[in-house]
Amino acid sequence: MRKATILLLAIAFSLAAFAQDTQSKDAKGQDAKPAEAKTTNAPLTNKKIPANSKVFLAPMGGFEEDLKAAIQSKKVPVVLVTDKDQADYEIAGTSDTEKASAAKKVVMWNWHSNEQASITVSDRKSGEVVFAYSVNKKSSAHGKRSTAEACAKHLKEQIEGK
Amino acid sequence: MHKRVAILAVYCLAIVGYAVAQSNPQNAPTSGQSSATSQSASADAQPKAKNDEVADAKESKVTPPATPATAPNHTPVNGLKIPSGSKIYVAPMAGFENYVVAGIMKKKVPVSIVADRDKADYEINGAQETQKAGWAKIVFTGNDSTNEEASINVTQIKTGAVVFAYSVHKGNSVRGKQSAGEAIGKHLNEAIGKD
Repeated sequence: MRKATILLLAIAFSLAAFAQDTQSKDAKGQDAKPAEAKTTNAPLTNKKIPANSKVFLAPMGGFEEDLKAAIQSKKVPVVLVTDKDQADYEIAGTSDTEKASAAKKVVMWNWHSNEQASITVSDRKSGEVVFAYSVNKKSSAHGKRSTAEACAKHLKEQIEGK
Repeated sequence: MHKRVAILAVYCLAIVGYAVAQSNPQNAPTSGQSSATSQSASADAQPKAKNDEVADAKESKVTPPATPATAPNHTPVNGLKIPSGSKIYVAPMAGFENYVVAGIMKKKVPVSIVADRDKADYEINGAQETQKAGWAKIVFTGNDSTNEEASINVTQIKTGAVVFAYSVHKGNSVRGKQSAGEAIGKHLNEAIGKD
């Protein structure tokens, strides 16, 4: 009786895990996709942001504060302004935080959140997007700070032409 | 004895039922600009589910001969093509528009992204949905990756004609929304580069 109970529970939990993982297997079954010839088109929106440009950070649900701190800590050569009319460029974006679930804490012994963020830098005069970057950090060591610093780092590289 | 077994069986069924309910996709997408045309246009053009970035890189390097049965449907919906150098506006999609723009930039799509709709020739609309990993998936597979779904369509602003549509589903997405955004950028690049 006891063995049967354990067996039944094991089967139930296995089925539960299988059910939650079915979507990935469905996707695998449909991936008979032939590769396309690689296109060699150059991007048109690859204009550089001049150093010391005036940049306005649009509201991003609080992420703009992290980004502001990151731009300063990474020494990105831009001037942050609080008035949109004075700015040459505008940074808009979004950020998502997924806190560690109870299962993750219990099984993986991991309290860190998963973070993802994406920013776009647009020229206010022409309205053209000159830079965009997205980042995803699993079990982020410093939460939003990590994603903000990644954005700032890549923005700096773009400005400095690296 | 029989009563015990019955209770146990009901308990097990409840666990399975709960897990199945969690695995089902949510009813409403995160943004309400989904197009019916986008799913039908390229339902067979779904990229690989796992380790998607590596898979994308491999796909672009290896070029096996495409058979008509499995070839992705990149043909324009209305027989129209997006010319290289077009100005494209990405409409708000509950934050996902930023990932789409980043994907387009990363995949070096030969278009100009503009923030003002009035200056654009084409507009990208779409919807995106994220399904977080359930407790059973984390406990038994040790995997807390999300499943991502997104669908976009490109419309010519002047005529209102849909010229390109694509939907992507990534199970156990390694980089979440970023993966979906880059898949869109990649396939848009292929569509534009075909002319």
